[in-house]
Amino acid sequence: MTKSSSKAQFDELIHAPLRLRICASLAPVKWAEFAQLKQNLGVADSVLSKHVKQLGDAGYLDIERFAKLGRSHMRVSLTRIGRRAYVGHVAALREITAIK
Amino acid sequence: MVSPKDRTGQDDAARLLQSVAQESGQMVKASGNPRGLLTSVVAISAVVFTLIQAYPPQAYWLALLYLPIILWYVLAQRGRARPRTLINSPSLLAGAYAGYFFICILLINCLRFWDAAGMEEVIAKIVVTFISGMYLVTKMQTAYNKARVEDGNDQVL
Repeated sequence: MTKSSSKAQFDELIHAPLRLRICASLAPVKWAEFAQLKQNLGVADSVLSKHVKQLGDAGYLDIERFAKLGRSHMRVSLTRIGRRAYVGHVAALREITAIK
Repeated sequence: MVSPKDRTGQDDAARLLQSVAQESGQMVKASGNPRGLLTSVVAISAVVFTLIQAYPPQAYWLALLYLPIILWYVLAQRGRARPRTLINSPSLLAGAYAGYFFICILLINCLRFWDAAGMEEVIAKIVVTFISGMYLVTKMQTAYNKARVEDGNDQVL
């Protein structure tokens, strides 16, 4: 495991298990389509929408809507603030597990 | 001494970190190339590499076998998550990935010394190239995926 480039900081918003899973899924990618994120997490549309909106309202996620072949799609990505908060939260979790 | 409350917190944190690694790993796999595509590339490369060396220049047209692979790759990329650019990944540049890449180059150069003449020898060379190539490419892919998960969870930029 490489050293985290962000200061460890616990984030209450990200800490909820599904929101943490959303951030973890988006961390290694530039962006993911909503359908793929849903498939990856195995949750219902409504549940995912709710948590994505919460993260979006906090400025952690960038949500882009676009049309492809006449159908509406949604592309989700971590913002710079969101990535910083997520990496800091993961570092905080590591610190907790490292306590002797 | 860790109190029972801290112990519960530690267990929860460990469980969450495990789910983080699992989700990131799953997304890395989903945004990468299909396994079949990788196998096909190695199989075609083994055939092309062996036959071009055994029967040049009649075998040059075999390079056309890459065209369906390119088409497959383009189709496979549609709707997939776009991988993040690896900015600063020491485990990729100095770790297992670089090591296996070096062995791969070494293997290709060693196989060039094997002059397969008869049909049996050509088939044997294709099989050896495919198996060793597949082994190294799989190892490289695993190391690359691991580096992507670490980069995603550790790098802010």
